[in-house]
Amino acid sequence: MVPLIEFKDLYKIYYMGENVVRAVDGISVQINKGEFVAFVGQSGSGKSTCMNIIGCLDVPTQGQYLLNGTDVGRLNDNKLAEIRNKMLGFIFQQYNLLPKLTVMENVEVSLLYAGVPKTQRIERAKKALDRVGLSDKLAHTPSQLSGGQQQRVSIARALAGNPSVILADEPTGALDSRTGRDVLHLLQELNREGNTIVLITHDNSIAATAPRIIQLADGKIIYDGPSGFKGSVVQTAEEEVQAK
Amino acid sequence: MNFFQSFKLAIQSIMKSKVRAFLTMLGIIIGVGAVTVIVGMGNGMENYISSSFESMGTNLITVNIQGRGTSRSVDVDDMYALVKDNLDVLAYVSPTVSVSATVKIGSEEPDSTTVTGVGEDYGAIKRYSISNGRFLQYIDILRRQYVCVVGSYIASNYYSGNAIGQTLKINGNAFTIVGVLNEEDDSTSGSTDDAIYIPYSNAAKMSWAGTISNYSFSGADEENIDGAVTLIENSLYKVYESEDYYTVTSMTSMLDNMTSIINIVVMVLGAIAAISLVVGGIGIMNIMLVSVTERTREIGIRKSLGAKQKDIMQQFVIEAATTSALGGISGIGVGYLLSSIASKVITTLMSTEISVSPSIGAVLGAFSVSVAIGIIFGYLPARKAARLNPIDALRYD
Repeated sequence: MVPLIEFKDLYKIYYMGENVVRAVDGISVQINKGEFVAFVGQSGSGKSTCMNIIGCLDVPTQGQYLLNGTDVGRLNDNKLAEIRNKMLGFIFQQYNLLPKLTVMENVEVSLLYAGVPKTQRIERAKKALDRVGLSDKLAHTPSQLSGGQQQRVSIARALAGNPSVILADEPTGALDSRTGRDVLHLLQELNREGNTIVLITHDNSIAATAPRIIQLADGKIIYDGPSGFKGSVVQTAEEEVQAK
Repeated sequence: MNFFQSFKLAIQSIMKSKVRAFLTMLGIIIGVGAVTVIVGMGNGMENYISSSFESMGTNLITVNIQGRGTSRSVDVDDMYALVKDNLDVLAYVSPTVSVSATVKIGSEEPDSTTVTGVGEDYGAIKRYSISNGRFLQYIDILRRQYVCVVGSYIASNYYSGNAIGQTLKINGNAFTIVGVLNEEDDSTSGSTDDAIYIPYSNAAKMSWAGTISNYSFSGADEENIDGAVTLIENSLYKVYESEDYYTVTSMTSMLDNMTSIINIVVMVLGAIAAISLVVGGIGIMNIMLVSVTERTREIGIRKSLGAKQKDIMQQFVIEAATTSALGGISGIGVGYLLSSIASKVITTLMSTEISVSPSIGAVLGAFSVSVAIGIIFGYLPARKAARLNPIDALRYD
């Protein structure tokens, strides 16, 4: 089976005057369809760069990034936009909803760019909002919703496009711990329903939500394995308590 | 993302900030409004002038002879013969002799009244009509009768309408009034209606030169005035053998000259007004640039959701064009409003009917120009927006 996401000896190097910053320093990794993977690391570890590359918002300096078997690392701006539209769904820390549009319209945006006809667009957006439990808030604007609700709108927006991969970048970062937990549970459920999810976080306990953890430091992978494993750098909250 | 959706988005965005949108449009509104009014005024003036020329007769040709010594000359008989031999081209001729005379009507001495010596066909050439009595006749001219025809102003002002049979004095000679003309102008002092016409034979005797050097012709066919002009010029050239000793002017060519002068004035004024369109365009560009900066995050979000460069570009260009087009439509409205006000003001102030009427062509032109300005000046900000890097745009606060 072809892995859904594959990094082959991937580099992202920034040249800032005299300094050479290797944000991603020779990473090779494979993520299969249906997996739930967390990229975890301190700030500056390269996890955000990894997420930008996976999300086709950025291209690698060197090496290959295969998305569903196709090398997307060398595509132009418009092709990347098309791939973002068809294959990727984003969930951001700051929700990134369009403040002037209603909840319904926000979910419809990516479908608009995909050229989905109106009736189908409405149907899919409604279904996605139903899935995250917001079918009673269709006509609200984001500012009328709580943070947790806004984040669920953004999850619905990611779902509506039927993406191959859902990318969640610190999805709980702006939420209180309880709402954050709800959002993580929702992601786990979505994963059980067959969605491939890549979670980016600096928080080990949040990363532990995912069955598989990839830990980064200085642009390199320092751990890649199951989150429950005793020797793992990342432990679940309970394990951390036990360890103490 | 199709055109209609982009358009809807543009309307939404404009409606969210009405005051800003209005201020942005103001330059375009003023520009389009000004162009509409100026073109309208030009049209009104052109219509007014051509209608007043038409009432004077567009087939009128005036000839002025400066003369070249005594050996070469043209007399009245030559001119009458010219018409008689070319009746297919020329209809009438009349000598016109301006007399700088002292007019005395009763005890009054009006100084604005003009005295002109003319032939019996002058009334037909100028399309004057008689309200009372008769016009000058051939016999009056032949016998140098002391008779005259007066304009309506003189009849009503000095004789309270009963002018026939009365006498007035020109340079001390008593003239009997035999006819009164209908009102041609507005029956005021110094107008066409404040005039006295006497036989040219008498007038020539009274004027210091004693020679007749001005003639009015009328063409037989209004479509062939140029032919008539050429005919007169040719016959005069045969006598004087140079073009420097006479001038032949037709009303049509004068009308053409006037019209082209008005057109030039309208074009210059229009160009000045159009500058404010350009200024308005720069205003739109400015606001769109601000808008791109303000909406950097929105652009980033849209790009992350799969908007292509062309989608973003289209969104901003259409927004600029819509703003500009709305300004254009309001400008046309303002232009029409000002035009109707101007018409009323001119009518009351100048007591002449000049209707300021913008032509449909000018209005459509102004509208298309305003849309084009939106597109041109919206292009740069739109391109800036389209080229934003999605990562930077998403991070922008």
